[in-house]
Amino acid sequence: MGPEASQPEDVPYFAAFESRPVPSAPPALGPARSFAFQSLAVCALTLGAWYLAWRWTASLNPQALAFSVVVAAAETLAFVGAVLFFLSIWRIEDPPARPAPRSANEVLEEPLAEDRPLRVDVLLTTLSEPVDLVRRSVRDAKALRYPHPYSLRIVVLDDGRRAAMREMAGAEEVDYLARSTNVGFKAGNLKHALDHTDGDFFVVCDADTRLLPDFLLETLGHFRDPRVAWVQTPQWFFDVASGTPLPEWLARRTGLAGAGRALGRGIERLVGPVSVGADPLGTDARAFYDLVQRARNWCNASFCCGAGSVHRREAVLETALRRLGDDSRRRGLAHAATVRDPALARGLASAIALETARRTELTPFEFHVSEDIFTSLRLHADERRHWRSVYHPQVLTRMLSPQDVLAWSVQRFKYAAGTLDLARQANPLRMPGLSGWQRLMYAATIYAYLAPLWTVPLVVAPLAWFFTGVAPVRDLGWPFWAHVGPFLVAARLALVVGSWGIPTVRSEQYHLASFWLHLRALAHVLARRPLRFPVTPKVGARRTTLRLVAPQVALLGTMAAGIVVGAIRVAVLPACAPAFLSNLFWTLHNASCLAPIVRAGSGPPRGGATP
Amino acid sequence: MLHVRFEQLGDALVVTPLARRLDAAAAAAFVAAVREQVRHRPRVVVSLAHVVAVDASGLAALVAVHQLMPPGSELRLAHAPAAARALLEATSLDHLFPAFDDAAAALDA
Repeated sequence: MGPEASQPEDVPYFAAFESRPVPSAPPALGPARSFAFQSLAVCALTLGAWYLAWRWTASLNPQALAFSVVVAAAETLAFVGAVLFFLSIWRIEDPPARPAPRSANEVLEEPLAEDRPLRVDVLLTTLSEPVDLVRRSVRDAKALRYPHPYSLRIVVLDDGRRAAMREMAGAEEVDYLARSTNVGFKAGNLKHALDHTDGDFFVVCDADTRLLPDFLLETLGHFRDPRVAWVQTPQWFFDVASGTPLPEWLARRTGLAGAGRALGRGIERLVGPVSVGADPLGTDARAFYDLVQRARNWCNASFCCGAGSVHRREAVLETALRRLGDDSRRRGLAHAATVRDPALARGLASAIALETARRTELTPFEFHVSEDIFTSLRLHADERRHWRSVYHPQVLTRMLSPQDVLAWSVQRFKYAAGTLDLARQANPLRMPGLSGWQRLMYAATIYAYLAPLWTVPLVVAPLAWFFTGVAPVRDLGWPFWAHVGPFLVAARLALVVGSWGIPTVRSEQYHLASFWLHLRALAHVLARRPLRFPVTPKVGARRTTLRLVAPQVALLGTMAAGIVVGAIRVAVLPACAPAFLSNLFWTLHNASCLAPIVRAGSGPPRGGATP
Repeated sequence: MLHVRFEQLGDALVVTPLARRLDAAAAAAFVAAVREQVRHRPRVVVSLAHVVAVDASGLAALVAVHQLMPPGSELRLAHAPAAARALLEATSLDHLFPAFDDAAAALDA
């Protein structure tokens, strides 16, 4: 079923969001807050290390040693995740704004004899998205403005080879390119475009990427530094449901009216604005962009996210050429290594290298499901050029988010399997050419996708206690809380300070709730099954998606049953009340993480999204 | 419009783009112009006698031309300006597309 078939109305759902104001970038982190965050993070990590030392040396339950060790190992892995996370948001430094370049010579290392205006290509990739959706993106690209004379070319890259898409491009007076195969999917589509365009820079857009008029004006200035290879801007999903403000929700849903509203305002004064039911699928990417990407600028480790980015053509091509040259030389030498006669070996090496180069596709973008991050890694690791990337914190595009659990699953599986496969193919810890901080940042991204390795044991452990009475800690009462409590409080405070004003709750919930998807992705990559490249459905469909959240539903059911069994256990054995309370606390926390995805899977399509 | 001159020299085809730059702006037209001529040629010499500058897109065009040629074929360069030789070396393509002072030298090697 194509997306078109599922959208009977002429007016797309996101039309209601069109007039949403563009969010401004969060204020820059002041030195005082930065210091406060770093101090709290050091505190939290020290307390965490102290807790783990106690866990391994003084708390393992000898009655269930294997179980104890598994859970303690899971806690250790989770702690490593916390270390990587805090390090990866350690420092936020925005790139200085630089005026838009006037001509080619202002962005080149070696100036041209005859200077000329800049050339920019906007590349819009599409496969199966509706024509009207792409038309909106084309029209927004046509509305780009630039303060100097320049040449702009907008190209629709249609891997669907559709007559209607070609007609639309013709009617909008933009270029249209289609190729005879879909080799390399999006990366192959972009490569084909590079063969037929000539811009100094090219903007990569998905079918639904809507450029704001100042996109080039704000980003091209960064290329005055000739080492800058690409600039990534935040992906603003403008169709994410904003939910109901807490005071309103309390007033309406609790029947408290005025009192509820006052209570809500009081809470908001303490913890900042709270929206109930916002972003049901956790697709709002602000936590990733405003925090994670932004904190990678200072060490040149922000990566390209596949859309809403602008690239220096020369950088992308040069790195791809060097790979072709190096790989074919290596291949030739490897084959010739077995030949004794030096002259013969030289001839063979050269012939094989030449033939390898003749048959190898030049890949300016890695032909990989995570072509964006893979290509970023290659450019960062380029030992000759050491290309730089810039993350520009202002929103300059708007995009559509997955609107139901199916679309969400397709997208997240692609991210997870792609990133894990990248680690298998080009491990950033071993890849030459990267700085220590770059390695750490890429490793942090990959490590986050291994989360089920520790979240699953940590979710199962309390359930095991409920049903069997076996605990992974010798005493789950006061000694446990005395050791873990300070770490949890300090880590929470560090997160609150480090991410002030950026919603992170959904990311935390989905970190746990995605366990099934991420486990499947991990199994998929470990089994070396081929990665398919499904296009993330852009337009919501009316489908039953409860099936997709069955593991989460089953887990919630087990938790409910476990709590009942645990309560009976306490009634019979009052001495285990502290253990029950500890396990109840974790289970309620875990259940609250699972609830949103189950609600999204069972609710109406688009999670009842309203602007 | 990019003009290209073709000459037969021994068993090789000498291809001379009549352009000052073999760059992004000329690359696609260059490949299109030589496509049919090189298809069955085991040896092609690209003479850069008129070219003063080559960029990565220009080198990518050479890769594309070589990929149009039959198995076992060779693509050599003549009259490559110093900057082009430097870029060839920087991209590790110098071992694939050796550069010579002129077409005769390219054929003798």
